Amino acid sequence: MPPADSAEAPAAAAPQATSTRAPPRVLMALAALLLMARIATGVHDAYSPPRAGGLVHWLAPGDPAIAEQAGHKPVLYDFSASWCEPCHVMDREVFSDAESANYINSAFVAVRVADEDQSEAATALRHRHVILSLPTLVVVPHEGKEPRRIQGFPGRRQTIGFLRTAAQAGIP
Amino acid sequence: MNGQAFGAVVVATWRERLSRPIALIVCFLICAGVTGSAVTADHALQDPTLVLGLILAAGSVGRDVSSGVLALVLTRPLVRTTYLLAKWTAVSTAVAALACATLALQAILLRSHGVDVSGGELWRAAFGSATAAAGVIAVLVLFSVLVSGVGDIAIWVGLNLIAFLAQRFFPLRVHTEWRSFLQPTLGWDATFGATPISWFGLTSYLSTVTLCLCLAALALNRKEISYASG
Amino acid sequence: MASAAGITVEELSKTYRRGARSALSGVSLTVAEGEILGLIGPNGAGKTTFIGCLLGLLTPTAGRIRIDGRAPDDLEVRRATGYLPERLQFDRWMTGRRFMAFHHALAGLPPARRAGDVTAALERVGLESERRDVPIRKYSRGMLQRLGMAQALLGAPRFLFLDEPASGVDPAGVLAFRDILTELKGRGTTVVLNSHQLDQLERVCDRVAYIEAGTIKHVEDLRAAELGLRVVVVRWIPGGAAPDREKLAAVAQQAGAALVDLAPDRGRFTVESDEQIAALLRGLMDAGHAVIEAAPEAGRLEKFFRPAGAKGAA
Repeated sequence: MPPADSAEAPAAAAPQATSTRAPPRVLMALAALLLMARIATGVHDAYSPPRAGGLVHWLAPGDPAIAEQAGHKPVLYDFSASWCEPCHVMDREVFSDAESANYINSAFVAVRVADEDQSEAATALRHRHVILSLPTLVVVPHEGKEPRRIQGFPGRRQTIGFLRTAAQAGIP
Repeated sequence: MNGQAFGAVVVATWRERLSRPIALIVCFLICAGVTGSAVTADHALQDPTLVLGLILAAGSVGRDVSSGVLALVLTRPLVRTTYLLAKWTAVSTAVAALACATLALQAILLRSHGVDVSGGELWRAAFGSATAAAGVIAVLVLFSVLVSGVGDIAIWVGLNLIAFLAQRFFPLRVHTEWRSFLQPTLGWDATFGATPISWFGLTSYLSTVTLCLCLAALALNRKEISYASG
Repeated sequence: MASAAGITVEELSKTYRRGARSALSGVSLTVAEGEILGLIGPNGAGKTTFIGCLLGLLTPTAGRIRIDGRAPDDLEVRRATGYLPERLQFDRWMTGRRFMAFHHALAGLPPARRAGDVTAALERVGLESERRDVPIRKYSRGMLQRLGMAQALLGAPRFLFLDEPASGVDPAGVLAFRDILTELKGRGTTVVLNSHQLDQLERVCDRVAYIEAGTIKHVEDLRAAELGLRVVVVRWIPGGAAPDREKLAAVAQQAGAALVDLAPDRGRFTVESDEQIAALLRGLMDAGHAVIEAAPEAGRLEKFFRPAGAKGAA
């Protein structure tokens, strides 16, 4: 085993490519590249066109129509935000689909609680339903039954399945 | 990378993690409970990855440090980063395998109860489980390098608790990013299920995982491994 | 200047807690290739820290270590190193055989040789065959020590670091370990051996370094014994006057021996044969000394642990 070069700093030798403490260069490069990509895509999404909301007839928190209609139908709260990527996907997959949107419009009082909405009514709703991540769909049946919720976007079929189950449970 | 040493650490970790009777019993009970709930209450697939990950990943590196096992292992011609990546690979594959087996069982039972669970839905759930396993294990491995024993779980739970308690004081976006760091996930539908692909979702997940592994490797390189008492 | 093929330590220092605690301070030492160096010292002296630095597990605060001309954490050095830790914390769920196979793989040794190498190493340390497939958590202390030695010997390392190798081992095991060290010495393996068992160190080591409070206080060269020279301590009843050093040196020389140290009631002499011992004793009695005992010197290393001025083996 030939001796290595001896020019070293006074402390222990800096890690070399053949050292047990070799720096994880590939991992460092990947992490740096992906971090930059994350920032770039985040900035891009921030400047994307605002969400359309699809074909669902959304009411804003505090709208008197909510109280009027809640006696006949369960209320569907969509807690979302313009910066929330899965919320965009849910918009495209569920709320912009004619069949799903028609079903939602007929079965629920649809209320969109955007994160950007800092009104008293919106804030109170977020606190009451303990919103910890976005998107979150909460279905509040009338007559005091337990609300049902789903967090994240698990796919179109599961989301529609949740809405149908929640709507059925809300029927007296 | 020393492939032989990597493979040896992976296999040894699988055996070690899956040879603890109490952990296996708890995992079995969790899988059974989640399956029961999925079939009788939710009528949909329920993913047990997170809980399985917390049980099987506890102290993946920290216990080797506090027990003194790592001191002997690191006197071998083994790059520390190789050891770390082998640990991550072993634990995340074990967690993903158990979770996917549970999901497959749920699918079979749901179909027998008349609930339609397509092969595509099962595959997407398995994808989500595998990526969730790789994500949360990367975070736990980072914590495990920083503290000995099973302090990694305590840190993870503590940070989640802080996030929960402090949610009223932070904007929801900060809170969401914080939690997505602690529990990186990559859902198929949310990312690839529509056009255009959610590039931000994809890069966020990959960035978190690689950052955790990179920081863990750098921390392990600096770590003093000894039970010097004299 | 020592050859680059051995171990060179220059001004090694190690502190903890941002300098609040100094474990090693300015340690300089050279271990020649093929030498067996012993480390002794009181608890807390810094021996385990020193070995930790030699193994690349600890980063020195200052100073430099070279093993075969390379840094301790160089992969080539790791391939040529074996280590027996003081605390035998092995993967307790593994069987002895599986543990050895794991370390054989970590050492980068060829898989084709694994089964044969593992069996040979376990045979060599005397671990009974019926215990090799039992989980390590059921091993006794002595069995753990044998297993630890076996894994340290995998791959025929050129550098071996042994931390309390004979601790908890039965006499048969101690003899087996001594035979292993003798064989390793014959092969030119460089060994650093930390032990509290002074008599064992005297038997196997070339030199012994005494460490106290993080510095090397003294290095005792034991190699005279290998040259065939023995040290004999002769005790006599002290007379009224102090013994005449020149006269005793002449008596020793006449017998073919040499006077090393002199005290009122004893002298240390180097001899080469039993005949010289007999001639020396005759000469001393003829010179008027009432000889009461003659014995090979033992406990050369004990002097480091005796309070100053205490009586004991010279």
